[in-house]
Parts: sequence; structure tokens; C-alpha cells
Amino acid sequence: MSVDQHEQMIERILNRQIEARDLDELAQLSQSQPVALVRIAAALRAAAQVESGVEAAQALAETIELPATGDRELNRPSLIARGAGSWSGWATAAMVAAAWMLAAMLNLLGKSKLNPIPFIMMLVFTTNIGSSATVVGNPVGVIIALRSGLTFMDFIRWATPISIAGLALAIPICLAVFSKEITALKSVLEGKHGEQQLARMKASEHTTKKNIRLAGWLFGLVILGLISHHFLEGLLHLPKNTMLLGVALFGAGIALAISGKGARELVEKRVDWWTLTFFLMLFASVGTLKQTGVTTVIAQRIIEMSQGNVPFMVSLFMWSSGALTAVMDNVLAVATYVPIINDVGAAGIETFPLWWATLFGCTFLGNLTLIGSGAVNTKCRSWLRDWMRWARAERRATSSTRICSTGPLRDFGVTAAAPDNTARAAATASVASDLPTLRRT
Amino acid sequence: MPKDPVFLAQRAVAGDREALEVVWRQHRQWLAAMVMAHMPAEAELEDILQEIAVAVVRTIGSLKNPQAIRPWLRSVAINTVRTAGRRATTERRNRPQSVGDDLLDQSTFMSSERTSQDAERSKEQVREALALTRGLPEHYREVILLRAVRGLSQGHIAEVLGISIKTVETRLRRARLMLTEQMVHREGDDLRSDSWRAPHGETWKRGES
Repeated sequence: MSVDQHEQMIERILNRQIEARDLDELAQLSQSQPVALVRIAAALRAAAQVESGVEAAQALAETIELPATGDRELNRPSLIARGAGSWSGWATAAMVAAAWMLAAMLNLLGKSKLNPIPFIMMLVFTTNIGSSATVVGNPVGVIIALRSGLTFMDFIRWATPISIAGLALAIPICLAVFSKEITALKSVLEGKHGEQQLARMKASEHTTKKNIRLAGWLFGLVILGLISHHFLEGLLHLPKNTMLLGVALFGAGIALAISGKGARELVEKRVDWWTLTFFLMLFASVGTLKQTGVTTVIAQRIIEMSQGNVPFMVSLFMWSSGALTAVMDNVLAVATYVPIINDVGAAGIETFPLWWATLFGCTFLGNLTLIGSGAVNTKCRSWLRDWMRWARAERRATSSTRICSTGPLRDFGVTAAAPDNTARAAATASVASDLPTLRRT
Repeated sequence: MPKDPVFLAQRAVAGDREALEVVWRQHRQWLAAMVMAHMPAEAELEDILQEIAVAVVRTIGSLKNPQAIRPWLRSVAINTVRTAGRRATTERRNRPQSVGDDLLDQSTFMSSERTSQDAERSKEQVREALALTRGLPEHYREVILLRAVRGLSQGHIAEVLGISIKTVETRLRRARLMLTEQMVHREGDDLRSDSWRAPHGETWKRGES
């Protein structure tokens, strides 16, 4: 009796379709092939034991009823997670401080006669790469977190290491490419002019110290709220990621209250309504793709093309979202990709690495062109003439960091971190716009 | 309330809470087997099933084709398992646990055993069988666990997995073959350690028929 015949007999026994001839054969086997009989017994025992395990699972399932609402249950983070959250808060604060130092450096440049473009470029490269480190580093991260349910801690665990590796590559490249400008800056800072400038800045600091402290506290509280959003949602029984928006609104409300009579001007003139309107229309246009089923068709084509091969899909999502970012804007790109990833997930394919691939595609390749990201767009509005120089420098920085990010994600079998880089870029751009008198070197 | 799954799914999508509850009760048993096929050892079945229940309530409105209720539930279950699994891996990394520990501690399993000693031995055997099942490739694991669900035919399994009945049969046969190989290998070791000898002086060799 062959193995196949054994298997067929086992099938019949398990399906309760045992026949008289099977009993005869079993009797014969006990005499002629006792080892085969052991095999059949083992198969039946395995099936029975698996069935027992599944029965226990079924009994457990019988006790699970649907909740009244779709809100997630209170999720209490562990002490380790809380500790990590607070440490990441310190790290975030340090990164923000670094970003502010860069803005201060640009302020200093404004009084010197150096070309600010190389420094703005360095700021943009590191901003875009570093902004992928946390949820709130980039609008792309916020959109991905809201749509995928990934938390701040997920970003710290999965995105931050890749982002830091990207920065570790980009910074030395920037230092090498712009070495002349950096040497020139050093000489300015070390010279008499630099000392005078620093003294002037220090003197002017007294006049704004109170406001700076107040703004710093408010900003710190907002960052703390963003970091602990998951914990707050659990505490207040709110749907996931509600506090990502809630904390920002709360911070804005406090800022308006502090502004007093200037609140109206703040709302009317200081908010970038043009950009917000742009995003509003942009999401509406992406919504039409979803509504008409275009994203579903794209998802189906991607699944067919990749044949469910996740590493291939990771590469595909990363490079294609990056390409889309380069010709549109990274927010538009991620808004386009969100429904596609959801449709891919609806087909039962694991979407976890695809979210990260899209994040890195949309942030790292935001450096590729002037319209690649909100940060670049805002900063470089007045520097369009330098397109060619931009492209030259970008090619070197982006290609290296992309290799760095694709590797770990492909193996997945997967600093500027806050606040949002668009806001930070706007602040930097306002500094840059104060430099009209600069002569280009 | 009628029991037709498609009709119930249509009503559930339209917002009928009662229909949604019937849909859940109809499918939760095989969903438990599906979760077993995918969940990491660190995760707890009960937690994940509750997460799936939450996800079903939250996303039922997004089901476009009520006829595909089973594949849709599978997608929801798998995505929830993977998300919950990642969290469980992080949170419980320092608490190693054998497969099915929490599951087999349920009184429902224990009640059928005669003595506590028998029950303990059976529990150990079931745990080992489940551990062997976890060693199978994912698509074989799914099929063999789903087949163990009461009342779930091969046709239903094919519908859930989006494959043909023939493929289900093939996978099931191969899964059982692999499981048997492992079981025989393990028992062969046990038997040898007990100085077991087959009649006619035969000794066990792996893969021998």
C-alpha cells in the first residue's frame, strides 16, 4: 500500500467516509506494515488534536460579542511605553531646538554677505529626511497615521531609525558639497563682524524674552500632547488619533486667547489660508479618484503585477510615490496612495510595510524638485532661479539616502521631527525673506 | 430573522445592528480558527477577537459587495491580527508563552477530561499539535485549521480564501502530510526512547511508508 493510498484512507476516515475495505486493509497493515499503521494513527491523532485546539478557540469565540460602538477599548500603555514616550519627547525637543538654531543661523546670515541658498538647501534636505522620523514631522506622517492607525510609538520604532540613518548619510554629503560656503560662514562667525552681530542679537533678546518663554511653553505643551496623544485618547475614551488633531486645535486656541486683541489679525493674516485652501481642493480632487473607482483599479493592477510579493510591492510603492511626489506634492501623493493602500489591504495583503514605503517615498523624494514638498515649496518660493543648482545638489543627497531607506524595508518581511515641517519651513522662509539685500556669490 | 448570510450582510451594511450581530455569530467560530493561523505566539486569542469585533462594527459600512462577506471578514481579521500581533510582540516580549496556553486553560476544554492528570496530558498533546501546525507554511496552516471548524465545508473554505475547492483539497492533503511527518518523527523519537520495537524486528525511519 503506497503513501498516496494511506493518505486517501486517512481522508476517508477524517471525513467519516470509512468503508468496509478500509477496515480490512487496516487489519492487513497491522500484520504486514506496522510502521504504516503507526503513520496512519499519527495522522488521525494529529487531526484530532488540532480539532480539539480549534474547538477550544471556537468555544472562546462564542463568548465574544460585538461592542456597542466601533470605538477602541481603553488602551493602557505599559510603563516601558510611557517611559519611551517621555524620552522620545526629550529627543523631539532637542531636534526642534536644532531646527531653531538653523533658523537663527539664517538670521545671522542675513546680516553677512554670504549666499544663503546652500544653507537653505541643507536645511531643506535634512528637514525632509528628518521629518519622516515622527508622526508630526510632516503632513505625510499625519495623514498616514490618521488613515492607517499607526501611533506615535510605531513611528518611533519603525521610522525613526531609518530617518536617522538617512540623515547620517545626507549630512556628510551636504558638508562635502557645500564645504566652501561652510568655510566662508566659519570665517564670518570667527571674525570681528561675527562678534558684533552676536552681540547685537544678544542685546535684542531682552526685548522679546518674555514672549519667547511663553511661546516656548505653549509649543512644548503642544509637542508633549502630540507625543502622548495615544495615552490621552485611552484616558478620554476617544477614537484613535483624535488627539493628534485635538492637541493642535487646543494649542491654537490657547495662542488665540493669549493674543487678545491681536487674535483677529492672527486668524486673518498669519494663517496661510492659501495653502489650506490648496490642500482642501487637493483632497477633494483625490476623493474623486476614490469615488470613481480609479484607486481600486490601480490597487488591482498593483496586486496583479506583484503577484502578492510584498518586498516587490514595497519597492513599487516607495519609488512610485516618490516619483509622484517629485512632480506634484508629497501631500497630494500620499493622499492619492492612501485609498490605494486601503484597497490593497481589503484584498487581504499586509499593508504595514506599504505605509512605511509610502512615507519614505513621499518624504525623502520630496527633495527631488522644488514642488516636491510643502517645506521645499514654502522655503523656495523666491529662489526659483536656482533650479539647476538645486537639482545638482539634490541628486547626490537623495540617491544615497534612498538606498539607505529601501534596504531595511525590503528586508521587512520592514529630526527635526516636530513640529510639522511645513510650519517650520514657513518660519524659516520668513527669515529668508528678510534677506533681500544679499548678494549672490 | 432570516439566516441567509448575503441578505444579513446587506442589512448589516445598511446599518441594521441586529443583522450585524447575527452575521458576527455566524462567522466568529471560523474567524477564531483564522486568527489561530496567523497570530503570533505572544498574542492572546481573546484580545484579538475583541479587536476584530470592534473593527467589524467600525468598518462594516465599507463592505461593497455583501456576497463577499467571508473574504471581507478574513481581510479584517488578518489586518487586525497583524496590527495586534505587532503590539503584543512589543508588550509581551519578556513573557514567553507556549502556543495556546491561554486558550487551553479555558474550562471548556478541561471539562471533557476524566481526571486532572488525563486532562493535563491531553492539553500538552493539543499544545504540541498546535505548535506543529504553526510550523506549517501559512496557506497550509489556514486550510488545516479552518477544516477543523465544525460545519465549515471545503466550499466555504474555498470562498473564504478565494481559491478553488480543488486547491483547498490539495493544500489540505499536503498540510496533513507535513503534519503527519512531524508527528511521526516526534512519536518515533518518543517510542525509541521507550525501547519500542515493531513486530518482525522493524525499526522506524523518517519518511518510510
